[in-house]
Amino acid sequence: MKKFVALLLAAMMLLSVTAIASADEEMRVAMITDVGTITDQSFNQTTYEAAKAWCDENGVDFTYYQPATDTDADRIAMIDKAVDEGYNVILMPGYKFGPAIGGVQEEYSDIKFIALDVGEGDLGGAQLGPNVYCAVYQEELCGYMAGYAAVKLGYTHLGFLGGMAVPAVIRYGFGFVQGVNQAAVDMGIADQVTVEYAYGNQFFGDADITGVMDTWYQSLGVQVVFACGGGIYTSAAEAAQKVENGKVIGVDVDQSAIIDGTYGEGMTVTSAMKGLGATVKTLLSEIKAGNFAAFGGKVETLGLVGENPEDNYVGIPADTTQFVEGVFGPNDYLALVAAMFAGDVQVSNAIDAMPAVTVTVNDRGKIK
Amino acid sequence: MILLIQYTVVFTSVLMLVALGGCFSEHSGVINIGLEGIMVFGALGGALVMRYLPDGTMGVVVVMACVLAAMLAGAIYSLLLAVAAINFKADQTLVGTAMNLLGTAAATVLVKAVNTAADPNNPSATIAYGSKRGAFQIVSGMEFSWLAVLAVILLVLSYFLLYKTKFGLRLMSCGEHPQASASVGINVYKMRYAGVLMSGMLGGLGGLVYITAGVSEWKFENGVAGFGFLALAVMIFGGWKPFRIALAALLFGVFRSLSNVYHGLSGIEISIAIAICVALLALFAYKCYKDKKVNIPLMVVAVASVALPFLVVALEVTFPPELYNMLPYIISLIVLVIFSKNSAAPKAEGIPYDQGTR
Amino acid sequence: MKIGRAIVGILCVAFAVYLYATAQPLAITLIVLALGIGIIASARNQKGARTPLLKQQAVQTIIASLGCILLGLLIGYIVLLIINPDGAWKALSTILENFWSFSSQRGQIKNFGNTLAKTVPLLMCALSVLFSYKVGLFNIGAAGQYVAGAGVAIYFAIALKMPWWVCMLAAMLAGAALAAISGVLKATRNVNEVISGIMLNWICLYLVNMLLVPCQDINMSETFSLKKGYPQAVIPTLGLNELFNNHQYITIAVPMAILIALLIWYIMTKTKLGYELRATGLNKDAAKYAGMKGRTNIILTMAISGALAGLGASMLYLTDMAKWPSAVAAVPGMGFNGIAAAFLGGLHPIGAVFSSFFIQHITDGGSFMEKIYPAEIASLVSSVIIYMCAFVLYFRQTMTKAVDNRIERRHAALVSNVRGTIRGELEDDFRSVVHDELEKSRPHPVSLDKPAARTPEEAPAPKPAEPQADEPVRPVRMPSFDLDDDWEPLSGDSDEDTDGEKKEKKKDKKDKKDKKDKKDKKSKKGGSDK
Repeated sequence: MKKFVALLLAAMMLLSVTAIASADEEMRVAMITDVGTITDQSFNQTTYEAAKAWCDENGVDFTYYQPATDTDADRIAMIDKAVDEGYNVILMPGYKFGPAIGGVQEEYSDIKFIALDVGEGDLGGAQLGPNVYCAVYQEELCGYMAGYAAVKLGYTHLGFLGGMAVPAVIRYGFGFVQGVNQAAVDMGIADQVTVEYAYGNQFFGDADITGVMDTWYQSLGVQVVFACGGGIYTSAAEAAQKVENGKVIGVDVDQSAIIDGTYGEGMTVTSAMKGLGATVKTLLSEIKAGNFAAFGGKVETLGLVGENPEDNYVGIPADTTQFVEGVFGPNDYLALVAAMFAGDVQVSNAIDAMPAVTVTVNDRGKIK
Repeated sequence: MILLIQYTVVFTSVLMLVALGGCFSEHSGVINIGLEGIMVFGALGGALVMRYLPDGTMGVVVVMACVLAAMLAGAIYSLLLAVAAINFKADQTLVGTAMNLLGTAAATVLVKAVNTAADPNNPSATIAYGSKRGAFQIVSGMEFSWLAVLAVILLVLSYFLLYKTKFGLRLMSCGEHPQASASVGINVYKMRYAGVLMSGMLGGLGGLVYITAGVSEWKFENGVAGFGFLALAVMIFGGWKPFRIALAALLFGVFRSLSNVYHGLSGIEISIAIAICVALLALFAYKCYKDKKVNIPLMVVAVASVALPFLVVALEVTFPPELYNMLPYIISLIVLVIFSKNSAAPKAEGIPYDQGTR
Repeated sequence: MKIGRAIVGILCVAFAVYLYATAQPLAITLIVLALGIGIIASARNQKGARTPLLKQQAVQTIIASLGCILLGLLIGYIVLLIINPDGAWKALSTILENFWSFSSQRGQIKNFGNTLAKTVPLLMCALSVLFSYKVGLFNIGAAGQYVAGAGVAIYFAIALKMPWWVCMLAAMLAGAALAAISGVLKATRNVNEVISGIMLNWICLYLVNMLLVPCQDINMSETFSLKKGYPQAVIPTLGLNELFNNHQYITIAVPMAILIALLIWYIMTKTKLGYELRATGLNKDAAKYAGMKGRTNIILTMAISGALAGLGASMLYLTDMAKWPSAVAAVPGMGFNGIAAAFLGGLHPIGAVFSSFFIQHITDGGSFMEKIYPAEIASLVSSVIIYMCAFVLYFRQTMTKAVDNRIERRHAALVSNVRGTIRGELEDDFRSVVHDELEKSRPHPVSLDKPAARTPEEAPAPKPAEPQADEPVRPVRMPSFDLDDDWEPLSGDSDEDTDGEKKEKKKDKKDKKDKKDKKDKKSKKGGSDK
């Protein structure tokens, strides 16, 4: 009898908990692109795919909006529209949403906003309300790791091909340069290492960019290029394909599957990843569970959480990086992460000027 | 150096094909500003065929199928201009502008629809060619494409068609004085249709060459990045004559590829490039001089302005990168200034043909 | 002024405004508005004979433009249906409704403000294009002049810290200078202005990118926000934005743009300069022979066009609504959309106001559309509409022909009636004359009740066929031996007459003829000499 009563009480508690949870209005998620499309192979696409996957799994309504022009007014108009259509969780990827947040957070105090890649500086001094969560990634850390690994693995002539010179890409690039520099200094070959540095000024590849890449690989002798900008990796990979042992470093996600699959096995040395997709899924799950209050009002800088790369938001893939035991293996990578987490390794995230380094950096500016 | 040549060939063939297309259309009397749109659609036709051909088809078959598809798609799209300008006497510049805007939008919508139908999780406007791009390369690993050979063949064919056949001469007469042609019994409408359709075919092929150069997939929301307008400049630069258009395209191609590969070239190679460009321009100028239509001092200025950027690069004076981007346009403008005074444009172009007028 | 009709028309327009304010369906509001305007227009007193409604240029242009729009929307609808039939209608209505698709009044007004603020630069570009088109020049360089205006305005605002009106002036001058280059090249060296415009577009884009490097905020990858850092450069609102719920970007630029449209209309139609410019555009040689300075006019026109485009750019960027990104790879599309708006508005400044609003309206509406359709559908629809605009001339010719045909047919029916009557009388007379002659020449006159034989001199007075304006065959006139015969000349109507007057003249002639016939008949029957 007692057991039965206990069970009954437990069941009632469970029911009441779920009842409270479902008393909240039904969650409907909308994403607003910053100005690009959801197929830009960059953070818009990552956010879209992660959110769509999560919503499909959990049976939640999901849609996206694309602003008509690249203005704050239009981004806010899309937010208005999303709210008007009844969406109560708005995902906003991109630093461009910074100014918009100040305008909408008070007006829509019961709508939850998740702003990714939006940092303190982007907000322009506005104070965050409890219904907004901002996350910014320390891309310079994974750029650093990629550069460090590349030089350790023996590459001495590297290249950086950014998409457009936006803050996230600049952080990747400057981090990369710092990583290259540190590894070169550690190995004592700083005078032999060169980095070619350029922005393609677009997020897709075409004949012009491939021409530049061909020059790097064939005429200048670049061995590996960090292609950091959406679809621009296609040009780098094309050019790499033409030379023997041409290599590429991927960005945002583990791109080895895509690049190797299309252009040739073993082309991707590593990728500088940031956990954008993971963040989206985590946040959406937390909102569903009703824990948004723990995140609201915060501007989190997501980088290293611990010594275990699995927990971190930035890193290089543990399974597909072309580690070489004895030269730079998985344990060396773990050691690097630990050193960075402990603060022994400092990576600057300033984006106003190229970091001062000892290796040679040829800044070629914008290709187009 | 070999890179310079490769990319020069690539850009030259694109510009030459599209400019030849525009040339045919204008010779028949219809101004064709919509070359961008035609390029996009031709590229779309070729890309779709490439995507749907099974892997492992013979190289020849791939090339022929894609070329035919690109030409067909371009011709169909140019019908928009033909019908509007010839049957409905619309303003040709406006129709051309509308076709440019429409081309990118329509191509993007089409590709997205196709992609979503194949895989609902793929809303992108990208078409990936897969391994079939290799069919175009003569030497694997270099950007020499069979399409460039085709472009040269078409150039020679165009010259013969325009100047050595009855059809060509009649076509040109329709653009110079359609009423006189009509009085001799030439069906001006049919001739103009032929001119516009040929511009569609050549423009479409040019689009295909552009998107297969250097990449294995193409995002159609980007259109063709302004190449159509550059081809218009080439056409005018070339004075509506096929071989001069080829020279002009060569010049532009050298510039464009130089702006991409110059930092891999040594001083000697750049000097060679200068010499070639100056020689080309001198050849061009000589042809114009033979027609006694040019001003010698201005020509010297033109040659000097062309040689100057190369000298700058050779002497390793650094300029902001945007200057290199601007160079093709500045040079075209200077050349236009010099050579437009006695323009050889077809006299009746842009004027809708009306049988009733005299 | 027909008072009754005018009052009804004004009431209709007022009703339309009321419908608009209470956010009733757009279609009904527009229909009522159009009805009201039409009624007011028809209430005017027309001097002389009225041209038929459908032959008036303004009406033709409006109908043609509406036809373009409807066709474009229809094609867009078909494309939507093909992609995904469910939701096609909803998507199309979202495109058309734009801000009305919001459920709250606030949202509607705010987004109406957005659309209005973005209409301003589009309107200015449209004015720029149509102004130069009237002189026969296709200012495709409007996009580059727009870029130049934007760059200079932002530079003056941020780097030189000038107040807003100085920035606007600078933008105007920059646009004018750029366009003047095209104009000078065209006037002196006969360089095709389309090509020089395109080249200058790209050159200008790169130059502006270089110019604005010191004005870039590295954190945002675009120029600094004017409102925050340089408020003296922001165009003042003078309280206008309160009409739109304190919309941030509605400034005096909006009424300024409309005033400029009116100014352009005034210049083009009511000033000597405008007359000269239009004359040069219609026939350059004739204008030259008349003493108008062709070269100066071309350069001046291009300069004004460029100034308009540059001013339009400053009106957008100085409201801080848009900022110049640090990496602009292609020429902004505003200049090309201006071409579209110019043609859709029938190349008339007032029409351009409505057409630019419409184009911006559907562009914004497209961004609100359901995402089962690609976002590019909206630009597809607007491109199709622009393509259809090229057929405006054809529509107008068709309408003119249709009206002319209808008048022709009515006229022909009238004429054949008259002819039939006259021929009938003629035949009767002829038969009777022949019969008389036959009778006279018979050896034994048959005595029947017949009128007295007539002398051959009394041949019936010739009845000239009434003059046919389009009659290819001239009727043979029977000779009259009596010089006193009053007859009418066979000359046709002069071509300047309008159809109405032609009809009236013919009616008069017909009346006269009837009267004359009656007179002749009487004289014949009476047998009296004339």
